Amino acid sequence: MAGTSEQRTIVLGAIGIWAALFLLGASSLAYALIPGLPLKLPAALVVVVLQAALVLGGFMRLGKASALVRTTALIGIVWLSFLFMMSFADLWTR
Amino acid sequence: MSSTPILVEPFEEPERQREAMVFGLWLFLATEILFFGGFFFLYAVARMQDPVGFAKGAARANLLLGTVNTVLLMTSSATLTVAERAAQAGWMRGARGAILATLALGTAFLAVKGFEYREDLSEHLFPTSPAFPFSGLVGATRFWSFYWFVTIVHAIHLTIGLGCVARLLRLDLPRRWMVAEVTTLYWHFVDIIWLLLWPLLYLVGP
Repeated sequence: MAGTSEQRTIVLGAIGIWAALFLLGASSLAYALIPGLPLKLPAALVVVVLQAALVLGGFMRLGKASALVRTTALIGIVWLSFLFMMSFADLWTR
Repeated sequence: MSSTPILVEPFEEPERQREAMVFGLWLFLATEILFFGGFFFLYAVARMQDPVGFAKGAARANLLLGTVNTVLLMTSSATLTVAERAAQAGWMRGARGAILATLALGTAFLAVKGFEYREDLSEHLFPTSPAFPFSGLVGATRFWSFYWFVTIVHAIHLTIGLGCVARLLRLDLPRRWMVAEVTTLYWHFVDIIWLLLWPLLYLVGP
């Protein structure tokens, strides 16, 4: 059975990550709603990358996972980047 | 600390079993990244070919409901994290409460999505409708095709996730917390996909 301090650590840890995710989302929303600002979608995508990093590191504890697991997680992104690179190379050179 | 985990063949040590379960789940998630990646490529090409029409179509997406759903899903990720860590620490009351909260939040997400779909349908915001307000506008048509396809696929993933989370309530969690861990990984992945869909669907219109 977890002690009170451990229970508090579990709950506060999750709340901390949630608050950071919320603030990032709010900043993305505010930037999108202010008229005339440049590069709205790229800015929103940067925020998504930060949010994904928070979920991967904080909630999914990828940083503490073994090298095998971290490599597996990376594989999907690597192959996806190849898919994007080759498809865009084809599209832009037609 | 939690009780001794239940081991299944061929594992003799809890750590080896845990490593295999987490590895297997990440392997599955890697295929899911490629699965959703195809949709995101489609989005990029469609937007690139008619950015003005695309933005006009996106302007009709319901930002309020999309944002409410983002908050609901982010919160559900936090509650499921509490559930998983509580189960691992042997705090079963906390784990069960957090699982129930996650189920409520996930169900609320689907309910809000249902309201949004009803509104979209009443406004004929689907490309096959004769009254589709953007007929002839290629970018807007592609936006709404993407919207329906990807949100339905995401909702199916979430529904499967809800089933997996509900199953945790029936398990002997003190000894099966590894199942909670992999279920949580899947749920977070579905959350990340929505965090990406939110700006792509709702923030490109304003």
